[in-house]
Amino acid sequence: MTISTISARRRRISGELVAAVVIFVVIYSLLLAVAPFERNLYSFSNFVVLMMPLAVAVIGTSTVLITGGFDLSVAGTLGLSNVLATVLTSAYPDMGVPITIGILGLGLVVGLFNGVLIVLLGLQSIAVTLASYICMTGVALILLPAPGGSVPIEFTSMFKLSVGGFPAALGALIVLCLLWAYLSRTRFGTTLFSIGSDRQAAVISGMLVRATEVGAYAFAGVMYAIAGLFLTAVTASGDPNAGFPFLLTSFAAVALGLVSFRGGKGSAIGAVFGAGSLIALPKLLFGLRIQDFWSGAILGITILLALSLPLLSHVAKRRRRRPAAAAVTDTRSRKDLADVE
Amino acid sequence: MAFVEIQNVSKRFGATRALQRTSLALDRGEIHGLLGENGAGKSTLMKVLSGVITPDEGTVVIDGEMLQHGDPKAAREAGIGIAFQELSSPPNISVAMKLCLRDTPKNVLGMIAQKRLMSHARTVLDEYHAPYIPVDALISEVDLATKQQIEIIAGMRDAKRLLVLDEPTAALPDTAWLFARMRHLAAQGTSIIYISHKLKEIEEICSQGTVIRNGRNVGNFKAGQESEKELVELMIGRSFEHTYPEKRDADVRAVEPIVMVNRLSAGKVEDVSFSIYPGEVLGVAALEGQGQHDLFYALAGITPRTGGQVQITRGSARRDTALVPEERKAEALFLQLSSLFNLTVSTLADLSRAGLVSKKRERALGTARADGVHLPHTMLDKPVSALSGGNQQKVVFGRALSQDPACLILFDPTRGVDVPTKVELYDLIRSYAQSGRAVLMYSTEIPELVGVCDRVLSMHSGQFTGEFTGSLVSETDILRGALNLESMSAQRGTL
Amino acid sequence: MSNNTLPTDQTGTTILPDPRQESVPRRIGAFFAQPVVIVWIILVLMFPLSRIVSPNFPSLGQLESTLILGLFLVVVAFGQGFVILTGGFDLSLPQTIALGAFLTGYLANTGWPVMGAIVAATIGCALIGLINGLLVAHAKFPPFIVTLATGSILGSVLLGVSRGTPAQPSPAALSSLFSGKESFLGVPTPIWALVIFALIAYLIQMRSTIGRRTFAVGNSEIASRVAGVPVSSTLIIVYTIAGISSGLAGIMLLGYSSGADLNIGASWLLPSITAVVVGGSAIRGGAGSYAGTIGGALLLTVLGIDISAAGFSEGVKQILYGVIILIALIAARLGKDTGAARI
Repeated sequence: MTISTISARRRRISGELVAAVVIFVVIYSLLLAVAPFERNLYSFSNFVVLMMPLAVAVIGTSTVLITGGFDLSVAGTLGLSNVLATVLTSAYPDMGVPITIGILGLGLVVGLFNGVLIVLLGLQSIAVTLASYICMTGVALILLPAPGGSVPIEFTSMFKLSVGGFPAALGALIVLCLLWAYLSRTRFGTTLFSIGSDRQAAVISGMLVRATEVGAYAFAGVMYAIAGLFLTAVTASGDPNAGFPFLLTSFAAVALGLVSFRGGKGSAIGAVFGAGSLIALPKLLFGLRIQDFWSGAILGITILLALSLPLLSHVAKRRRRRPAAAAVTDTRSRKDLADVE
Repeated sequence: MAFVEIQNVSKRFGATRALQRTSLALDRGEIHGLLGENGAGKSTLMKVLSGVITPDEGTVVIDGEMLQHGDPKAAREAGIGIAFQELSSPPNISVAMKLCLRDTPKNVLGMIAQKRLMSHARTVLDEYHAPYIPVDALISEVDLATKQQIEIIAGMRDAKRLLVLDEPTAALPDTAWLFARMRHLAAQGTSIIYISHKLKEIEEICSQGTVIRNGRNVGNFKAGQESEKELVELMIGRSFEHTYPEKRDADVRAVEPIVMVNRLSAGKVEDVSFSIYPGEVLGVAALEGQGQHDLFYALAGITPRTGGQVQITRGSARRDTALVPEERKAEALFLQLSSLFNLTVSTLADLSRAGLVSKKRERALGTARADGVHLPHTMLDKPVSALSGGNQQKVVFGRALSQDPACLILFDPTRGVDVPTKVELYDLIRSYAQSGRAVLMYSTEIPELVGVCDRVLSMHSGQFTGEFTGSLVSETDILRGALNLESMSAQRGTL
Repeated sequence: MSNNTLPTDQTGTTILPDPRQESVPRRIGAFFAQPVVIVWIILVLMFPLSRIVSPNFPSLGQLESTLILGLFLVVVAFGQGFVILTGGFDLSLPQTIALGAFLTGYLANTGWPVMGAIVAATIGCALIGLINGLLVAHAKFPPFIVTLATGSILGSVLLGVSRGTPAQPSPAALSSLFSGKESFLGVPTPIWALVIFALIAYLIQMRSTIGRRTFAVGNSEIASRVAGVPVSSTLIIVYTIAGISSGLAGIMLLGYSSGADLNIGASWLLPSITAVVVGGSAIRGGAGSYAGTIGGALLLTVLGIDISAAGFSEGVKQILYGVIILIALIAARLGKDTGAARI
């Protein structure tokens, strides 16, 4: 049967993930081509450590995005995690491990808080997470009114270990990606994707929609906390507004990772590669001697190009096959309907 | 006490009472027909049984155990299986996953074991005599009939004690498989509620049944004891005759047509040609998913056309077409906004000057339009979501008429509408045609097409299979056309 | 057959007392349950409550500074709120503000008449909005990421073009108009600007045909198409208007702060969204009133003033903002059954 062979092939590797990897490989090989000083293990190791905060954060952002939600709390949790790590490790330099665990717990609690408000009270994810972002920035500002503080080297080195030249951070990233791949192959993952494509159908099918949604926010919260710890390791200091840039870059990375902004499609691993592309891009421009203020423009254009990729493949498909009936009831209308009933 | 006892279940949504002390009792292994028009409360009852909604009052007792309301899990554990009409599968999961949602094979790590899942799903499909369904396709990749079949099998797998089937044949071309599976399940002791408005099917498969109207029981019947006419009257609450307005008497084909469609292709529609004449109500009869949706939505300019020409002579009309779409809530109405807004939004130019809306004119125009469709004025300031189905449809009609189209396009315009409103809508359709305009109408109810339309085209697989005019407009013939029972290509030449 | 004593009509449908109609107390209750009314009541109460933080409050001066400072938020929140009404977001708002401020300052300093510079800058910002609108309406890209990308591009272009002259001093005429030192009929000029802008913006959002269409598109895109509402052109116009309002905010900010660097818009993105949400608009679009947004913007402003007067830190201010958003969301949720979207 043709239909089953097509689908079986597709399920093994998703087109979006391939595209995200290709975008990254193209940018990174260009970088290696124009910048000879990047062609060594040390630079690669640095690159990985530099991309860690964003790469880990987008695992969370894209998980929530796949359910059809928007999580802006990435900036708040990440910033607060950074500030807490700085303040606490300066005060208690020997308590690195308990502090780390405590911060992960905080991420979990914030995620649960978001999830419970969004799912149980039926509030809009983007508004709730905006509020929790602003609140957490406030807390961070109280703890550390201005950027600064010094993080003990023992703590930063915990995250910048290298094993035989290879950064342990890379190992951590791979572990997190494997964790995500694992989760996406469990019932939790199936439900996650089902919620994003048709929430009502998921409810009617008897999937554990509420628990899964709350779980997605909680998982994302932990990812943001980890990202904040890696950020602390990179900058070795605290900044109450450290999270703000991530508000936009995490969504840019997700776009470069070809995760759908409409839910139900995409892969957090793609988003990790998107984060890699985002970090490699300014380096590439530097290598090309393009002045750094143009990097924003190149980034914006790259995002728009990444957005048009699905459009191009759609056009190609249309050429190949007879056009399928245009789906008239778009997802938003379905959601409106669900809200009303 | 019966095996399944549904007692005095009530549920209201805003101003509408979907269920009013509805009761139903089934013996073990009984197949019970549930008859009622669209909007009679059948779907609400089913959602109560599935635990998706919590009723305001009433109890459901199965095999002596009281069902805990509002908890889908409890409903499943009580052995209730449901196959919904509005298909309930997320589009991006595999067929196997949908079939085995409750007993997904997992490996030691808790991951879904794809290979075992597939083979398990194959066993399930064999067990249900449907081995031809591809287990590894995505739900979005299989056709409507297969989706419906999957839905039914998934429901049957859950149904240890009670199965509810909601219009399962709407998308299923053939009842043989379904009825065989139902009899098999019933023989094992599962009771079945079979919701349909197809009387013949109910006669064939059910031992007895219940008719509900406006959320209440209005009668019980035993198979073969009541005439079809009596049941229909019970369903709609009044005599079936004399509800349709008189048709146009003269054949006006001598006049230039308003709509000329030449070899149109769009979506599932391939290469169809037809015309609609001034004063004419043209009906399209088709089973679910035969391309009628694409045809109507393409004419309304919503589905893109892929070939052919459409020529519409606008005359004094303001627009070529206006559409009353299939899904009232999802496609037609601005649910959060008032009826007044909904009635006037299509003709903002009429009530504004220099881009600013005159509240006075808006109200005057909105009131006039409400009068035109017999909508009470008190509805104007309410959010349209708070209106009953019938009143909502009046708002949709009022707005479509306000667009003053050369051709009014109606896709199943009486779905979920109460009978008095239906009659009013029929009159509106006829009088719009009489004003010299064209009307194109599709309905899931063939009797309705027979009653309302001057001419009916039957459609199958994206093609017209027959044309019925004047005295030829009869239910059985049209149904044969819709089923494509005989080639009627000879008649197509006359179009 | 009916075991019910309620009256029925000819179809047998029970006629229910509809909780939405009827009695005067209920109507009053429904009126006060509207998010707009709640926001304005809280806003009005804020002034006497300000006494808690400072014995000098409430005062005419406090009211005056609220309105002068509130002007900018009232302006940016209009553009943002108009876009949110369609179900989108404008994340290019900070860079558009910067463009408005920068271009006005730059042109005025190269000898253009101030009015000409303002018009040119406004057109420039309208173009940014137009591009956003085209990308959202025709390419069907998600607004969130489209405006993020265009904002990033615009910010970078501004940085590239302005090399060497990052800060632009404000033309004197503009400074005197928006710094709050000049008065007309005893009322500071920025307050006049606030009143005029609010009036025009109110008419656009709540009373114009484009406003109506925006509500329609935000409610349901497919229903809009069925109803014959031109979806694409509505979206394009909405984003263009948002660009213009951000540009105007930039011009006003240039005058207020007597000069502008390229970061002038950065701090306005989140408050613009916050004001809209606090004002009772649905963040997914389709419902919201500009009167509510004004209330939200002024409420946030007066809170900021009070917090500064109380000597609380920036951190406390942020936490309060966050909590207010949550309260507004929950209140709107609870009031959902009583108040439908109103125009």
